[in-house]
This record gives sequence, structure tokens and C-alpha cells, in this order.
Amino acid sequence: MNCRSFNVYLQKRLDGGPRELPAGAAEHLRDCTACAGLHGAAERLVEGLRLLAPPGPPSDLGDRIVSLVSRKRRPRLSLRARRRRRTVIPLAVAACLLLAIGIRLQWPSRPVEPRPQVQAPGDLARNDQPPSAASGLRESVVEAREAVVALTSRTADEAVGRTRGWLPRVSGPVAPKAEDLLGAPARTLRGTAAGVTSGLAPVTDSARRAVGLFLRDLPPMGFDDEHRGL
Amino acid sequence: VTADDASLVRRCLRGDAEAIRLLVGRFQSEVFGLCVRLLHHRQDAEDVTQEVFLRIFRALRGWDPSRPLRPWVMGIAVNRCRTWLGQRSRRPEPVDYLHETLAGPAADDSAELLQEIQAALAELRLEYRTVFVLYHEQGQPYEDIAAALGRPVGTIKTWLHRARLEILDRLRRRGMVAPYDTPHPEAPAAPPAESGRPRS
Repeated sequence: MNCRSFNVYLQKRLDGGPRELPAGAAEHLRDCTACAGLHGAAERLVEGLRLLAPPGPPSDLGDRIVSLVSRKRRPRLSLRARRRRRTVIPLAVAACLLLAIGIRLQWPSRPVEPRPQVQAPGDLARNDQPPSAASGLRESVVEAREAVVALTSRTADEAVGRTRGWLPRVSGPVAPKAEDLLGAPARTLRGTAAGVTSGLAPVTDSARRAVGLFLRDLPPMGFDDEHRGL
Repeated sequence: VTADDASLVRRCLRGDAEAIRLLVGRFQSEVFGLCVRLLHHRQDAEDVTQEVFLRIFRALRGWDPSRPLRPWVMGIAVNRCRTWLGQRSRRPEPVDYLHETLAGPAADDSAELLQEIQAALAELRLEYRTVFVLYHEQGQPYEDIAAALGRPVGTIKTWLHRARLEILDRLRRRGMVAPYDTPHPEAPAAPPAESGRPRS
């Protein structure tokens, strides 16, 4: 016997094979100290494995596991209930959608409210009741903006229409010379400035009134009346 | 695959509490024993055992009834232990576990022998240790171990062979040897269960 064949015997022995040494093993063990050491250790290992008891679980571990598993498991519905759920839920969702669409189509549309007229400054002055609701503020701002735009454009048109007559009319194919125009001014510079000021007065008045209306609709922020009136 | 396993699993899937208790009772000792051996920590082993059974019941629907149940369960246990060891390696090392019980009357150096075997087991690679414990302590056959670890039977035999050689080498170096010409009085005449032969 050699070391290789003795190793095969050793593995069979540890697999639960017979303890008796095969023929020639005793002579080999006397000559080979390595195999002799392995053989002695294997016998102690077999003995130790016999003494080695597998560690037992705590007595309450099973109950703990069962309660844990039962707690974590979700209750399963029966097959019939699952099928019913698979059918009923999509149908319910579809019915809700159809109902919502039908209601939306059949619902009478909200009547368009007439846009409130822009009040005259005198009326505005009498109307000291500020809009209480916050939602009214937005509408008031929109109305004020539209009023400013309308008044500004109208007044600008009127002012431009008046000043248009001040410009000299150009007639004929040849433009007049600059010396002729400068030599015979239609009006003095002061008079022209006064005319422009008087022409633009409606514009500035309208803008002032619009800004006053706008600030009037704002909620009070601690300004006094002088500041509000600019 | 026994019909018993299949019917037990079916009952568990129906939510039968008694079947759940039966399944836990059938495997808890082996799962816990393996966890203790692989983790070297009893409290960790309890935690991992609970996790293992939670995973078992979550994955029970995916069990292939054409395959045996025990290797499937032990495979989950091995995987959980491997994951736990990986997580534990990033945490402080727990108190060393040397808890052991003697199954029979102790000889003079039995406690020392057991400690040496424990220490030798602890030094083994995880794969070697797993195979050694499953084979020698739990008596599972090569085929079941191979199924649990997802490795060929030849690989399992190789790992077991190497595990034994490493343990024998340590015992020899530590002087835990019996003289070859003097049969040890405590050693049996090779009864299968006592020498670690698989039970089935």
C-alpha cells in the first residue's frame, strides 16, 4: 500500500466505511509518519463527530417563525374572488369614465356674464366700497388694464388727429426748401409747446384716472390717501 | 420528491396554518443547525433562520414539485448565511461562538477535541464548511448537497475531501491523534449515523 491508496481508504472510512485496516495498511503506517498522523487524526475526528451534537434551536423558535410568517403573509383571495376582481375593477373604471364624460357633455354651459362697464371717474369716486374677495382683485386688475388701454388708445388717436393739422401740407412734386419753411414759421415755439401740452392733456388725465382706479382696487397696504391718490 | 412534500406545500399555499407549522417544524432544526455552524453566532443564527423561513414561504409558489424540497430549503439557508456573512464582514465582529453540547458521555479530552474541531471548521472556506456540516452533521447525501448548492456532485466530493484534509491536518498539528495500532475505545465499529454517514 502506498500513500495514495491509504488516502482512498481514509476517505472511505470518513464516509462511514469499516474501521478495519486493509491489507498492507499497517505496514505502510509503520513506515509513513504522515499517513500515520492522518490516520490518528481521522480516528479522533470520527470520535469527535459522534460527540458533536448539532446545535438545537430554541424551544420557542418554531412558534416565533410561525407567527412571523403568518403576520407577513397577505391573505390571499380565493380564485373566484380574484377572477371577479379582475373583471369588476376594469368595468367599474370604464363605467366611471363614461359617466364623467356623459355628465360633462350634458352639463349646461355656464352663461357668459356681461362684462361690467367702466365707470366714470365720478362714479368711482362715489363708490368707496373696495372689493372684499381676493378673487375680485384679479378681475378688477384685468378691467383696469383694459380700461387703461382703451382710454390711452382713444385719447392718443384724438391728440394725433388734432396735431395733424399743424403740419404743413406738401403739394407738388418738389419739396419746399428749408429756408422757406424756417423763414416763415406757422407758429412760435412757445405756442407750439402749449398746443402739444393741451393736446396731450386728455391722455395724461386718462392715464392718471386709470392708475388711480387701479390703485383704488388694490387692498390696503398701509399707504395713506395722499400716496394712493398720487 | 415525496407526495408528502407536495401536499404539504399545497396546503401551505392555501394558507393552512397547521401545514405551515408542520413545514417549519420539519426543517427548523436543520436550518438552524446549519446557520449556527456557518455563522458561529447563535443569535445571528436565530435571526437568519427566521429570514430563511420568511423567504421560503414567499418563494414557495416557485418551488418545482419535481425536485426534492429539502435541498431547496437548505439552498435558501446557505444563500442567506452567505449574504449575512457578507453583511457582517462590514460590521464589527461579534463575540466568538464556541457553544457546543456533548451528545454522549465525555471522555477526558472530549471538550478539547470538540473545540479543536470547531476551530478547524471555522477556518475552512465557506463552501467547504457548508459541505462538511451538511454531510457529517446533518447526514445529507451528496446529491442533495449538490442540489442545495447548485454544484455538481463531483465538486461536492472534492470540497468535502479538502475540508476533511484541512481538519485532519489541524488535528494532527494540535496533537489530537490516536495511535494507529491502538484502536480508540470510544470509536465505534463504523455505524453509519455515528460516523457521519448520510441518513438518506
